[in-house]
Amino acid sequence: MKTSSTKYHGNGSSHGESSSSTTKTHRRRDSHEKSNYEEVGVIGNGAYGTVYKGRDLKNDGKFVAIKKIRIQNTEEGMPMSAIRETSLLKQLEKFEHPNIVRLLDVLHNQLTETEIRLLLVFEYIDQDLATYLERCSSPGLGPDRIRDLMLQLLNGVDFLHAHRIVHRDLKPQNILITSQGRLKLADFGLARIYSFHMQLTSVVVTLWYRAPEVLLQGQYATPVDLWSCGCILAELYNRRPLLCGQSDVEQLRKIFELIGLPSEEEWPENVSLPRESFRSRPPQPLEKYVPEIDPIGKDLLEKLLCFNPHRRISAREALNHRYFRDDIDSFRTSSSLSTSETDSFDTDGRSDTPVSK
Amino acid sequence: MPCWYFEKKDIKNSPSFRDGVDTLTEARYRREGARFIIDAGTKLGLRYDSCATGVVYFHRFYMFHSFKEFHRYVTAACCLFLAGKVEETPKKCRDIIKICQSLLSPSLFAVFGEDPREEVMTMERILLQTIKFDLQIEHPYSKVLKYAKFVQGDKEKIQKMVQMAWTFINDSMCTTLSLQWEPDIIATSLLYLASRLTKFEITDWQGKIPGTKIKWWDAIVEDISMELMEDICHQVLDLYSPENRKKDESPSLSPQTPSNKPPGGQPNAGGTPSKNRRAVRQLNNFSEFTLHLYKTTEFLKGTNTKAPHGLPTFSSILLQIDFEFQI
Repeated sequence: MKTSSTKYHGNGSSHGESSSSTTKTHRRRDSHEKSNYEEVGVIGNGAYGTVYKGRDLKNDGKFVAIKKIRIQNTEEGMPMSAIRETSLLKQLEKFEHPNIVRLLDVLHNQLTETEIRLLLVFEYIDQDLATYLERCSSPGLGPDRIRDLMLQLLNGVDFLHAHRIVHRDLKPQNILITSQGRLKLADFGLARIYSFHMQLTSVVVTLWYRAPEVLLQGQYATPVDLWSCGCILAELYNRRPLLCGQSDVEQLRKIFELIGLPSEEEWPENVSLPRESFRSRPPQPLEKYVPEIDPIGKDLLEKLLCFNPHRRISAREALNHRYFRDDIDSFRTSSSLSTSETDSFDTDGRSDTPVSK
Repeated sequence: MPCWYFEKKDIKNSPSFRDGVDTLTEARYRREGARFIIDAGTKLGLRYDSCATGVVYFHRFYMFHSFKEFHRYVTAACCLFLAGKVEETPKKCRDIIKICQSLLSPSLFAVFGEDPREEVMTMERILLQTIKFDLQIEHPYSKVLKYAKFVQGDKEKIQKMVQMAWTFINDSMCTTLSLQWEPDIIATSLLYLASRLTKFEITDWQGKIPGTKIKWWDAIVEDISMELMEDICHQVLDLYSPENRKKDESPSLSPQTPSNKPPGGQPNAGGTPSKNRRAVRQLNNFSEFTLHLYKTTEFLKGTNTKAPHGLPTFSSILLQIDFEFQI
């Protein structure tokens, strides 16, 4: 604001609406905005900037999560992409979807001539899915709890996709779990701001939930999120990530070890990596990787971890999968035909709510 | 999350009012700002919805700031600049300033200061902070077109009615209606006004249950009262009163009636040049018509058809217009 205040002084006050009053207002407003929130600590350093824990001073000091994003100021003021993405987030907020983290406020200030800082204030939820799974005592989540979490996850993803937003980075670290067990998606919708105006950071982005088309072609359409959902479904059972590659190529190799190397016809065109660079192998039975999964869950998982993005199940279709149908489920549990093992576990001290220490 | 709809009393008790700007002057500033945005936007080749979005920002901004603190033309220029970016029809700040300069007298343009570009940039930050990035705006335009598709009857009459409703929506931009009611309510009310004035009674529409007694507007909007629709129509018709017209500065080239300038477009006028020309002619007729409307309104104020609150009732105005003017 400094440049502008000096400038306002320079205006002279000969024209009707006096300039000096303008200056005062700017200052007042600026300090006023800042005093609304007080930072109390750092929550995490993401690839895209830092997230702070703060207090909303106007709201009884309630905790909030403040995400700070630096964006380049242009000749034409705030970049169009940043303006559009942020206003889309605000628009989305009007629906108050239960599986989406609440966006409480948007602030911004000018850091330097060329840099603007955008502050997004979200509700504070102290537990993400990764922590939730860590805290979960042996023998893990029961099948009902897994199904409930999966239903909430797909509901959130379906909502985003219905509003033409691709999350692009779904992973346990940005899926939040409230103390009431509600699942909420965070960190979506800003991907395009980041990719245009991202600062180079040394933070390593995890590849473990990336769809093969992202790794091969850098393609980002809605199916990429469903692949991530598949990885997460497996992780809910195993309580550890499904495929942990350390590089793009290693991640792809691990994917093909599981689902088999796609056929020549399935292999996409215009990919720098030829199909020949991977060893030909048949798909592995999923229960080898996810021993506790029942046949219906396995069917859904197979449809999520489909190589071809066009044939991969959509969020809407997944929600209609019989995995989520109660009648089937009651049949499943009452008859104990197939998965008697997991069922007996369920009555055997398996917690639906992990014990937080 | 701020709510962007306000009670009439809150609009009256605005920051400007509390800052010593009287209600009539504020209404004039709002009209001038809105017209300025539409004029400048049209000259820049912006679509009507980009202009309308800018106007809504303008009205919202002055629910939080006084006209004494921020000059209306600087704010207006910035609203247009931001609306262009949001609607993905960006215009260069420099070009917007050039147009502003061409529309304003040198003494008025002086409010942009020594560095107009920097002035607009600074304003953008204040504007974004004030309207909290709630930038996606729906307008009555698209609603009216949507409703028109449901209406059954003589195509030409419907077209005429929609044309007039469209013009009323243009004019409604100069009022604070966008701060009071959702776009579908404004669209319905102004379609009602147009239907009355073009004497096209909407009796049949798609999906109408045969034998039903409900009116067309009940089929569009839930719980919209005749009282509310008439109040909305009155707020637009008030623009045409002579005292409102006389006082306004006209930053644009010629002192036109507001209804003479649709911002950048006609409602689906068919696309062919000849049809477009016809549409323009209709609009020109219409501005004559609105002139007549002021006279009628004025005339009625002096007659005994007054409602208890001292103004002529809506129906009596329409009745009078029917007698006096055939369009």
